Amino acid sequence: MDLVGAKALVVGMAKSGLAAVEILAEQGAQVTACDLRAPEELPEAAQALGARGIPLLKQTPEVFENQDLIVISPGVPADLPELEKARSSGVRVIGDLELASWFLQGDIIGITGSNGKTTTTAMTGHILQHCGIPCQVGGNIGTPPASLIRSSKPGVWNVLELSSFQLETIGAFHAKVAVVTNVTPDHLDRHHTMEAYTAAKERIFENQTAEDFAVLNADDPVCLGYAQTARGRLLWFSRAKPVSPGLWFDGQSIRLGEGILLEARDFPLKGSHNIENAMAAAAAALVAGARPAQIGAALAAFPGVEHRLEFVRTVRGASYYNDSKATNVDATLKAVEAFEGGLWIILGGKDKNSDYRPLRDPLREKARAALLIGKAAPIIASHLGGAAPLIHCGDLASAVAAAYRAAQPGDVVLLSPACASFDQFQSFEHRGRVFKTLVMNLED
Amino acid sequence: MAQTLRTDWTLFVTIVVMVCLGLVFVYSASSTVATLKFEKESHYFLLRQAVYAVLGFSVLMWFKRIDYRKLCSPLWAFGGMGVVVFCLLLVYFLDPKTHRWFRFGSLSIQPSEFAKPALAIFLAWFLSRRLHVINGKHTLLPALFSVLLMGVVVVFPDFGTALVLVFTALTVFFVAGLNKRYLALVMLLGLLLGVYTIYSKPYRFGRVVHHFDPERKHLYLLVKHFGLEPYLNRSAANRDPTYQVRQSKIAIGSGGILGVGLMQSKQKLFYLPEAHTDFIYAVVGEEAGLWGCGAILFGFLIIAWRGFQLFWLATDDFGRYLALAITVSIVFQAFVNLSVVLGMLPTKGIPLPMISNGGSSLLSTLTQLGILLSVRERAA
Repeated sequence: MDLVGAKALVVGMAKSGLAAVEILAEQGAQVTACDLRAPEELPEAAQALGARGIPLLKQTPEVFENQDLIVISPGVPADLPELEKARSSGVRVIGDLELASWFLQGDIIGITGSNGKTTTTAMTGHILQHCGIPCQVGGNIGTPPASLIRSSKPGVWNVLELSSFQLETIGAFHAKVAVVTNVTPDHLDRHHTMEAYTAAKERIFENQTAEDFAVLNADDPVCLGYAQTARGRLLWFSRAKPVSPGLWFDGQSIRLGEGILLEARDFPLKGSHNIENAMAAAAAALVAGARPAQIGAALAAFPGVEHRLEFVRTVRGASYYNDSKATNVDATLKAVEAFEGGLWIILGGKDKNSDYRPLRDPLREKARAALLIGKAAPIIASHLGGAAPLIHCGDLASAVAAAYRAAQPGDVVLLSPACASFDQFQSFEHRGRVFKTLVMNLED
Repeated sequence: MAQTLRTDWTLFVTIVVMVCLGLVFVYSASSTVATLKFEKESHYFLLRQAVYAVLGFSVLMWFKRIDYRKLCSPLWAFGGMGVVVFCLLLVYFLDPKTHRWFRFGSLSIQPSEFAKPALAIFLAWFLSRRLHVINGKHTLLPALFSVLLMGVVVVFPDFGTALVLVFTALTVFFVAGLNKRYLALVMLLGLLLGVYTIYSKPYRFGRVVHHFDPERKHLYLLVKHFGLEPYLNRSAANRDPTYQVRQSKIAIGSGGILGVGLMQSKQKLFYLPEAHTDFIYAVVGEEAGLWGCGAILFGFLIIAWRGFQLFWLATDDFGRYLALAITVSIVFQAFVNLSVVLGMLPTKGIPLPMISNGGSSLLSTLTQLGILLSVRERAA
């Protein structure tokens, strides 16, 4: 891809935007950076860009004019009117993933899905490392794809977590192994319809050939639909029934065909959804060359992912879990599923037009109370009314304090908010860290 | 006359290399199947195959040492045939399910494989005595006898071996100068037998029809015309008849020139059935690429060269026809196997000599090659 002298605009100056600027500048493009926030609000980005002599502008319709290439960050809606206008005048509009894929060496394992993609990505990387197969891990969470370019090498796998937004803006991106963990309603505030969301995820298969692999969830109706159009070799996983070719869970052990890969009791993570993630990761690792016996051992030694049903500590006999990564209803459902009962669940944050009613039955059965925080509290309250006692706490600190006062030994205090974090926190990681600090400061 | 014996090192080394390559790819193609399907150690098939290889090389060295002219006797000619036919009849009752295997503990023997060396010795013995009256009435006897033997073998579902035997017999008689009319008669008989065999099992019928008419334009219409469609579909209902070859082509295609590396085949994991037996060449193609495929093909070309050369170099007719029959049967079998794997012939269960997993096949092939080496050592 020849970018020398091309005028390129990068929209959104978070981590991935900065990485995109860097790679474009390295390729000799004439780069402009912009963000909705004024340069004064982005001191770090401004400093980094200033050192390279790259102008940082506030995002206005004018900056989109006279460009050859526009690269948007995952947080930027792909259907902005300015972008539509640029597209109609023939300007190429791509995401950071597409840009990175032009320069990444080595094959890509792309992992997407509504839930479980972070854990699955981390597990896949962990298994490959455990098996001595060279790889690097990044994507939507953690290291942006563009930042992996410098360390990429032929023969080194790039294990990438991909969001539907990143997939929406691909062109030539090609995943040797495409994994879809599941597809349930999420991000409908930006994709508008379930069809658009499903179609965005499906693009992960777009440039695959018969020699590539598609790893799909056999229990997910949307994935079954993908199987009709995916061109690659299919590999299934299921926790409901035997599948072939693929991995399945018989209630006691993860099986590969007729053989046993791992006994569930040897697997360190809670929740049956994590068994599902383990199967998806194992399938991806298998086609990357890992041996079945090594995969079992690697999974048994998996340390877990921060903010994903992460055990924090036990205070006065009650266990505290940080599941801040649960930014939608389905993720929270899966977290609740992982516990027997006695739950004090902290819900709320920035609402994404979600329907919280699916939580009613599991909460009626397992929750002692739901502690509501953030802007979404009134909507959640109206959807959950009567299912469990509701305590309006306002912010996370009061919620933790309320749970601390009320929890009995043997109970579980779970932060699994089912909402985005942006009303009160910078990110879900920030929310999770605040929660952990609060819990660590509780008196035993 | 004291004759200096010179081992044919080119042929001998080729055989050793081929068998070693076979062991490597048997391990690669079978290790996952062994652990996951049979719940055994990953080297389960390798170990078995290695035992057969050692056994096979002992047999090879024994035949290489003895003078092949000792085999030119009615005892060997009829004895070999007799034992094989007897075993085939026995196995028909001892293995009521597939009519294929004798089992001794964990090792098993497939007698039909040994029909190949037995037939080669029989044909060579017969022709060495009757060459001058090849078109006389007495020559029809062995022709009929071999067809009879094929018939016995075909009863058991080992169409592949039968095909090799028929082709070998026809080639040998053709070279010996059998009257074209008799030859045509035998070919017609063979053809009828072949058509019957294909038709007798719906899966065979399905494979052949789908191979020659994947678009369902001509042969399929004929099948439909005769009302045989339900019969044809009986096999398709169970499994897509083109599945195996499609997977085989994906394997070879993804191998490219250099291959994806030893043990790295993905097709063998889930997609390619019989990866360590009949379709092992696809695993070679995926893991070792064009170079690996070329190397194995080259190995068979060397065997063909050294074997066919004996037709001019052997000092007697027995040696001449023995070498011809052995070379034809090995090279033809390899040719059919490679064609099936590359999708140029309908799918046919036939192992690749020396490479595929399978003890009887390896033993039988090494027996034949031992005899071939013996002929070469004593050739001009």
